[in-house]
Amino acid sequence: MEKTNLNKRIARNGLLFGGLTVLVACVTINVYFPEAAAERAADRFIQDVIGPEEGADEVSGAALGSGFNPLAALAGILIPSAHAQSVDIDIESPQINAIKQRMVQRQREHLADWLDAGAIGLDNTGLIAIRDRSAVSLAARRRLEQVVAEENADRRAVYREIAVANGHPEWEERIRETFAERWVANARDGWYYQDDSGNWQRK
Amino acid sequence: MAPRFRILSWPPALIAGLALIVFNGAGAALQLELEATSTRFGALTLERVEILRGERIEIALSGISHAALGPMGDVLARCRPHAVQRCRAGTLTWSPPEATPIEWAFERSGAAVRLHHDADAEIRIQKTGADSATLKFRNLALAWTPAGVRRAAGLSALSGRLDGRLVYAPESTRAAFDTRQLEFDTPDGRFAGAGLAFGLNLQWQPARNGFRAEGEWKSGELLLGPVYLPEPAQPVSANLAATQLDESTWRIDRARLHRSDVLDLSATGRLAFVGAVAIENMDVELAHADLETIWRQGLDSIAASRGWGQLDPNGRLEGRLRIERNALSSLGLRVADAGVEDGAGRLALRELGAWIEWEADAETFEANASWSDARLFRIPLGPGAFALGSRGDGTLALAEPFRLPVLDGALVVERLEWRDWLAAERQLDLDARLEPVDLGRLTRILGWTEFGGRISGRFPGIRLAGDAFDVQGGLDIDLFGGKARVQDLSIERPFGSLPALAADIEFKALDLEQVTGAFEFGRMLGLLSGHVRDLRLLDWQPVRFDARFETLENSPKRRISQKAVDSISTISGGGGAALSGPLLNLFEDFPYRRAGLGCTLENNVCRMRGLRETEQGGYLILEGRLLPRLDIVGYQRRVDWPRLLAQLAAATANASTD
Repeated sequence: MEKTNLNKRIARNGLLFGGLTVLVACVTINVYFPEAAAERAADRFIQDVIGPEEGADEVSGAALGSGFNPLAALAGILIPSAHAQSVDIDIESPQINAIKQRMVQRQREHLADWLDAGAIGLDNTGLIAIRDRSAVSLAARRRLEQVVAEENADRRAVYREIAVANGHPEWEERIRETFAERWVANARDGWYYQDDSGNWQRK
Repeated sequence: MAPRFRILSWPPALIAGLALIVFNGAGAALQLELEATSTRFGALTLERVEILRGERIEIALSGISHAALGPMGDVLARCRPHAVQRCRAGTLTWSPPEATPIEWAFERSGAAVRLHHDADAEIRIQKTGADSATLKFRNLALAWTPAGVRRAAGLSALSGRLDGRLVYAPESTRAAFDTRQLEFDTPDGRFAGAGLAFGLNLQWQPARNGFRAEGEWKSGELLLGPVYLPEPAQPVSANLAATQLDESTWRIDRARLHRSDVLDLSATGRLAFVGAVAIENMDVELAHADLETIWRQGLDSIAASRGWGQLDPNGRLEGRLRIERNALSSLGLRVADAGVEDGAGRLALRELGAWIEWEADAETFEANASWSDARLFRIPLGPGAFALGSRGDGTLALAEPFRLPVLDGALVVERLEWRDWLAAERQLDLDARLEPVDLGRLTRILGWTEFGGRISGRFPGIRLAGDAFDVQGGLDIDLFGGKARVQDLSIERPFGSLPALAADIEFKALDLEQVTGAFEFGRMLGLLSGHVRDLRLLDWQPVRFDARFETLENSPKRRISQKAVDSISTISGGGGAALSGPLLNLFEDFPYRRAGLGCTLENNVCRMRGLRETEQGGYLILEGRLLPRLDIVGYQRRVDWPRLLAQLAAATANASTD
């Protein structure tokens, strides 16, 4: 039966982890922030939100396509279980997905146009900011402030909940920084973003 | 050949006089060509003036520049050819900087001058007396406004049409303007208007130093910072009567903004114009405002950005405020006959009355609110009233304990203090308790599985940090004959994006018969204790917890029914019972020694565990006792959480249709 196989496998893994835990029990382990995994997770989230881009980064596409994560698997062997979990940044929860869906819709309805027009830009803290109100019509301007605030509330919640869901609330700031960088990396040509000193640059 | 004069620094008055002479044809025989460089008329500078009188009559002013407004372009006045005697008609061409030249045709007859452009734009100037005149204009394009003037007015764009008249007399000057399709924008885009039609009447009486203005906003939309004003259903009227006291000071005798039954705002005060406008003092009185209309004009956007976009308030707003030396010195606002309904169903208040009072000098703030009926997340709340006041130490505190009926119980806030409430790092301190509430009614209203009991709580401290509330103390719940305690409660973004709740819950000696009865689980006798630690809800759905429940061995009767055996199998992901089906059917229930089940939920997967591991690689959920001996062993360690919920829901739904 498949179940027995699974159980066996789990038992075997348990044994392996147990053994490793004993082996490394006397070693202090620093839980470091899994930069690469966070970047991949952020890319995946961001690409879902802004839609596929022509000429997208192929590596991330391939890695995302399959469920297998070689780095996580390797880390699973090398690092005791409690820490192995942290290496893969997981952002798949129904609640985060619900926010993502909201963000996808907002992107399609408002943000994409406003980013194209330069009315808003990607700031350097993983949020969006109003750059030039006069780039959109008066009626749209009325919504600008509100939609930007709603988007930023969603983004803040996502960053915080990703950190909490991965068992490290203290990573919130790092996750936010990673997202800030990946939003810009994934931005379309012509969109504005803030550089480190807060000046607007055009991609 | 005309004599030619080159003037380098002749007085401006002389140049102006010569121009007038040339234009009016005095000294018809005189032919001249006059050229002056860089001449100043008050704030205006001309780089070059050329006056030609010969076969043609021409006056060319080049490089006109205003001290404050910058370059204004060139003007060329040219009389129709052969107008030797007097310049009666001709063209006037104005070439503004970086814009297309605009050509006007002019005709003079008697004391009147008429200028027209493309047949539709027209200016008429009529001298009506020794020192009085009338100016009428029609269809002037506001887009002709020189860039410098637009910049000085803080505008990045201006267009639309302007009609009007100005009647000048020494004792009184009156003007009336009408705009059509006025559009304007500011460089930062915060202030803008589109499709605006305004009517404006002005009157200036020098003898009394009195100024009056009446305006009417008929159509179009306006964006004023965070305030968006859509096209008014009825025209909005504004009146202003002011007196100039000295060169830089004006008294606002009365200013009033009025829109039928929606808004009535008036103000009196004193303004100083020294460089910029400064309010020396101003009293504003809001005699009446319709809360719903005011809300829809900008406040709703502000609320929406904080997650309250579907809030729908109604009622009357009135109040007054005083501004002294450009700063708010006192404010009083009152809301009456009001109500609030949240479209998202989180909050409702009926028959709401509230007022706030604020005095800057005394640093006092008071707020008062009462309502007859309220609802929070479907939970009906009774009438309530509270009074908040500031104290000398910068603390905003509840004047007396606040009691809010909740079903048959009440939420009582004994103490609420908001320290440094004016600072950015404000700190909320709260001591509250929940007087016993009937769980049966509460669970029914919330649409949960109904079960009896009472819930009460004590919260000696609630701290608000950023978006998160940390609650000290906890909730005590009497349920199923036992007790539960909720502590280490913290709530993030309760009304915002993705509300989160974290808590630890301990359960003590619940009567299993009541528990299983409530959840259609199948019958189980015994006592149950356990915990749900490290619980985290997102959007009020559990995303993480470490739960463990175990029966107590000291309970006298410990039996489990067949249906409960099936239910446990479902929870443990289809783990099998030790007895096969046909044999099980012989018995209605079975005695047991112990039962225990744990689940650690993470990433949508419930990792199951039981009382202990079995030799066959499973985990023991229920250990039998006596005969017929029944053990339940689970084998599936990882159970998909959404599927488990669905299965449980299906199981209880089947049961409840019985």
